[in-house]
Amino acid sequence: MCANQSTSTTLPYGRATLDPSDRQESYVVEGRNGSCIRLSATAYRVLVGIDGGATAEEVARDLSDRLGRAVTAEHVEAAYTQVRQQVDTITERTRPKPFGLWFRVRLLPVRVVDRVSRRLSPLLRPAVAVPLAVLCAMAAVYALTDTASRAKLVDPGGSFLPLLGLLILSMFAHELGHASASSRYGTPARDIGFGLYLVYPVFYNDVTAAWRLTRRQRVVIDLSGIFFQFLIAGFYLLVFHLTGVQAFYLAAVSIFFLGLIVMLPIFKFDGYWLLSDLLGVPNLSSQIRRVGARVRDRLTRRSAERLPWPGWVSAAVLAYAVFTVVFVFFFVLRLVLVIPDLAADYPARVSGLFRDLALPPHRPAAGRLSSVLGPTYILLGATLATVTMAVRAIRALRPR
Amino acid sequence: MENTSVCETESPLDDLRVEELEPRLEFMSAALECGYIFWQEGCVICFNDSGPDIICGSAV
Repeated sequence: MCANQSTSTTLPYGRATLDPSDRQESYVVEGRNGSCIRLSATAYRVLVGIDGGATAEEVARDLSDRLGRAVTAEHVEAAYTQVRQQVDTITERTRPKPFGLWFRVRLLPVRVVDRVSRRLSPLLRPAVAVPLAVLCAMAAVYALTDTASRAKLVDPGGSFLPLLGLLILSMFAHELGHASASSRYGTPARDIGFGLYLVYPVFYNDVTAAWRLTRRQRVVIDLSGIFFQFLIAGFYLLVFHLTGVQAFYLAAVSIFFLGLIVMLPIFKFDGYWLLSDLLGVPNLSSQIRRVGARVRDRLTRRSAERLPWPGWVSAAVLAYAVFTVVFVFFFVLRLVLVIPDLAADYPARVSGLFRDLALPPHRPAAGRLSSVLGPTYILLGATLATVTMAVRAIRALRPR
Repeated sequence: MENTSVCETESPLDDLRVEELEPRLEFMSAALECGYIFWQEGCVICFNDSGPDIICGSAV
């Protein structure tokens, strides 16, 4: 949550901080509903000036000095009405949840996350984190290139549950990594939970308060999840070498591999936030349309909106846009092709699982659970996506 | 998410951007794409439609 509850109760927003992500001067204010709102410097001075008790004439004088052009009280009053209306609209509605997060369940409450993350945050001191990160990188390279150990593996269908348990434990560590970094920089820790995002079962940690931090601090938060998870993977690798239990090896390799995958800036996984913070472009996914419009206007020689970033950042956002559009196209295409088969097979998969549980030895056959779990979240996610988009379409078409 | 507008053209206050920042939920899943990085050894770790699983030998 971005809101600071200790501030004035008469305004729909709380504490304001200078936004370090933007190359133009701008500010982040914290809505009472937990939203974070970014304001241009002028919008901020008009809003906070008037709400702070200054007269329109005083704000106009201040802005005239800053902007080097004549600003009247009437200009300020009109601007205040416009800005305040937009801020009220944002702060009065329910805070939007990320698109594609169909449901979520809190697993660790704020109090627990706060206490644990405070204790773990010393791991992020540079003197501790850098040597550990080097060790993690070496372990990852070793695990991913160790062909000898993998050559000895046999089909471990029976390893699925232990593997899943070890992966879930590591994902908790991942989320605690984000929370610990957030705690280290003094932003409030939030809950850790489980949900269904698109067609992926996910763990999550809400670090919305990180918008108040510098870009460098946000990058540390983005990387801390995978750092903590790689620490766990390194531990698993050690246990495998000491005990020979295959599930630990599989879990370690899976975690290192997942670490590479989540760095892709697709959907809202870690790579997305990392790219957004490295570029200094908030709301990266919604900038695709903006950059696209700019390119279209340039190609058609129309006057184009000036983008607030250097050329190389705009080029990077454009490359990201192209990559995302292509990826999402194939992602959806693949789902559309696979869903009919999954839906047709699903009753047989589920009845097979129930048959395993009903008949001796009353446990799932090798590979049975994984063959039911995967289709379950894919079909559930696809159904919820269809329903959500249908509802939105109906609302959009409804006469106002 | 974006809610940007500007004042009338005659106003000197021409940059009145107001933008809601997206909620930052850091996601992690064990069920991402299927990886073929071990294909040359005859094994893949798959996080695809069958959940996290490793498949070796002739099934690959």
